Amino acid sequence: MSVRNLAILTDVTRCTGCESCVVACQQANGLPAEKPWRWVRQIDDLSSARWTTIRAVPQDDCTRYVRRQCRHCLDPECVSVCIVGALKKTPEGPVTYDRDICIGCRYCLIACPWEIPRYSWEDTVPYVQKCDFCFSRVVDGRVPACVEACPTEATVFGDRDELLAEAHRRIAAEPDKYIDKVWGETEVGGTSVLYISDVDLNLTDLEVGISSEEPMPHRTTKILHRMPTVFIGMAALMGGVHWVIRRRQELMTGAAATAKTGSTDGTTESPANEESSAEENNA
Amino acid sequence: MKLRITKTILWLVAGLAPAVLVMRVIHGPGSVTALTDIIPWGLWKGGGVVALVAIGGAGFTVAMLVYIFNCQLFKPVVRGAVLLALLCYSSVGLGLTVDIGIWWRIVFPVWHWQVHSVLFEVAWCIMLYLVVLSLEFSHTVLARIGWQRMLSVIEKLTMVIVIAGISLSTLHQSSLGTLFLATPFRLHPLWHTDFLPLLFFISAIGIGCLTISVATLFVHWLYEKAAPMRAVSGLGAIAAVTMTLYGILRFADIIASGKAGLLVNPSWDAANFWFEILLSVVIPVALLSQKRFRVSPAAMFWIGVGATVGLTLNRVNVSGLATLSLTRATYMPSWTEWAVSAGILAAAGLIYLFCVENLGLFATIGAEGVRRARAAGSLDLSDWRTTFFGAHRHGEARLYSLVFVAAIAGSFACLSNDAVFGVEPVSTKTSGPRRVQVVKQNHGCSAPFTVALRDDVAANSGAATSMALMVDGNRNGRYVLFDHEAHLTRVEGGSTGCARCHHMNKPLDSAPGCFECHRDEYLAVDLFDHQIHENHTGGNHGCIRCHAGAGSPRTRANTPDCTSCHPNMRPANTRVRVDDPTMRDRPSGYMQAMHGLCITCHQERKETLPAERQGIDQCAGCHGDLPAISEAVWQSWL
Repeated sequence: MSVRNLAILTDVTRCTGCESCVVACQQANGLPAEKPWRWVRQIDDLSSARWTTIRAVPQDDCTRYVRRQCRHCLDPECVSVCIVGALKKTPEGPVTYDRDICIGCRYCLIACPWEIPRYSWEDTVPYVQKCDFCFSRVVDGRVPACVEACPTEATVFGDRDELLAEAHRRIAAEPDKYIDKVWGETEVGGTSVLYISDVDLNLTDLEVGISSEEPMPHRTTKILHRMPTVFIGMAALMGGVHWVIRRRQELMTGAAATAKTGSTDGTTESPANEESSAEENNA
Repeated sequence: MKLRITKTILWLVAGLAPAVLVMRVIHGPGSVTALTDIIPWGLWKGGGVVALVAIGGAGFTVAMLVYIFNCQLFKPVVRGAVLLALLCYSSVGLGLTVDIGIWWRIVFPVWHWQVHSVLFEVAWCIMLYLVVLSLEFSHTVLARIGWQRMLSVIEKLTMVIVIAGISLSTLHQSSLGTLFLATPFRLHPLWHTDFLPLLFFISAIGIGCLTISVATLFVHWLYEKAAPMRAVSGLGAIAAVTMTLYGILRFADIIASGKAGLLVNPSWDAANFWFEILLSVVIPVALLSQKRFRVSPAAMFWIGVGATVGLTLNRVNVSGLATLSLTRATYMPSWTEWAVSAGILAAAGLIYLFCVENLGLFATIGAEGVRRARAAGSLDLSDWRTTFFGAHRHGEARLYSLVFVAAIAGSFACLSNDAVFGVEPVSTKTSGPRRVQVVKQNHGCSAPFTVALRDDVAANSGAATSMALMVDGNRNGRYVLFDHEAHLTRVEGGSTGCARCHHMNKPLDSAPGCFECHRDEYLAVDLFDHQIHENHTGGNHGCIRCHAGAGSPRTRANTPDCTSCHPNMRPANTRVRVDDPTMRDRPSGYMQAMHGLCITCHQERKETLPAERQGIDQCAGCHGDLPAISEAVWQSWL
């Protein structure tokens, strides 16, 4: 298929909380039966058996249902931190996971600003568990299982630019109903999973919501890219300091600094030198 | 004797780890750790990797002092420092291997490259630095076994090796800090700063000086020899300067970024921060700046231990402990996690002692010191194999082996079911609903119909019967008549309201408990104890004693007053009309009950009473010793 920037738009006002998407996701991805594991913190939370879930958000008038899934960030932190490149941002948009090379360091779990990735702690050989946008389906030209299952078209699938336009069109058509914001348009550099809503959404469990628009990987790469310079700089500095100090000591000892001492360089400083240690002991 | 006791303890602790590791390999990390999806990095990462790398900073710091700055003063401890670093980094490698989910893939970063990952850089640096440390330490080994040609090659390469080691250390010590720049929304702002890499690097130098001091002093205490105090106090002075710099940078950064308010804001995190700073900076700097403490072996030892604990706390904070408040999670390492971490460290300690005894790590101890210390514990370790693998001839080898095996057996015995049989969730105990025959009657009133057990309405024998559900909603073994249809019509959304109950369920369970909607049933703040009343009135059969009319909604509105059963709740001669229907639908908390029951009436009565009795709406009107109550307070109560 042609490379498009695929996305999912969820309209919170249309979701009835039926959880058809959850069931469809579990079937499409062959997820195991849900069980009350120790690490499943909250009823209906994401888990290794639930890559998408519906969160009930009680409001004064009536409850809103907010779907939670991998946000498929445009510049994903999980991809940036992955030590072996098991997580990849595909050109089509989905962030995919290669379980054949994952070593299980779980850096993605702590790096994800949305707290999405889960781990199958119950398994002897555990893997990272997260929505992969039904990548194998979308490359075949089909829509993700959750979108296909949604009975109210609360969650729709398409090109990111088109969905953004659609989101803004819906907001413009009913400005009294919607909050004038598309969640995922700009946060952490933009995500491929977008939300519009009539109530404020906090899409994480974190104490503070995410408002930064700086792509997450910038926070580490700006330091990381200086590291080769630091390495060479440190080596040069140490070599230089060593040379200067040696030279000074040679000059101080005067005539004793003959060619012999200079050529053997570090060897006279070798830790095998027990005499000086013995001196230390006597002192 | 103390050598023997120390070794016995180390063998004991080392023996705890293998049993746990067997289970970790068979059943996966979930079986022996307390980690969760929200706190996926725990003791093994925070303590066993991030903190231990900082402690291993001793290697490059002392190598830098001795070889680059040519300070002969520190020569007596350089071998010890290199071995300390080598053992720390080996422990890090082992700790990482058991921590990662798929342990045999620990080598994958060697050929699966992802150069934008900080962790990738750290992994490579640690791997290369382990090679460098091995080369540095090979000097000691080669000198001992007398391979002169190899030794001369290593000696020629000394400066290259040392400089490579320092550069690699600069990179990975700082990059361990960079790791946590990726977690700005998890890590508490008192710890999260763009200067984390620099802070990690500087503090690693400071703490490296102190950890090698602690190791040196401890080993010399063990073998009862005078420690090279000039080197140790020199290291103390360097540590004082470095930790001062670290402390200044830390506070300058916090103040410059406008986070000073958090320092004085009373919170768990602020307390944690001050405790950490006190241990890692304030106390060591204050004591190390005085010469009398620097020259005292005991003072240097305890200052070093305190500062090491403090800095370990810093690393543990950054990698997990200080993320608990923002992620609203909890985590306490399981005993199995502690056992593995402690076991790896104990094994490293034994190797350290082995090298002290057999490789002449400290010239100040010497062969004679080792011999005497062994003799003091009636030990004979002339054959090195007895130290490690145990031979038949020697009592101490048998002792150590026995302790080690006993520890393994003991830890097997203490392992939880999760670890031994694999993790299995425990399901909530529920009983399926049972169907009973009921009579449904339509009364044409607000409740659409009432449902009663067939036996309870014998008089209406002519009425049509149908089936209804008895459910053990609250999982307490008591079935109640559950009118599914009535709930369907009553809950929000009518027939689309299924989700109200059936999507609130816990895994392995099909419906929530009754009390999850009927919240007042077990509300702890309520004066009314539902459970006691249920017990006194005969369980389920007693429901209708209070909730009259089977099938009608059981709310306070159709529930009689307390006084209808407890007439003596009222003082004698009271004028409170308890039969007043408006008195019924009252909140039943103690204060509200009193104010609602008594005071409302008193206020009404006030209107009709003569002037001299106007005080009856004030508490003090009857309760003479109470102060008068202002109008505003009245209104807030009512």
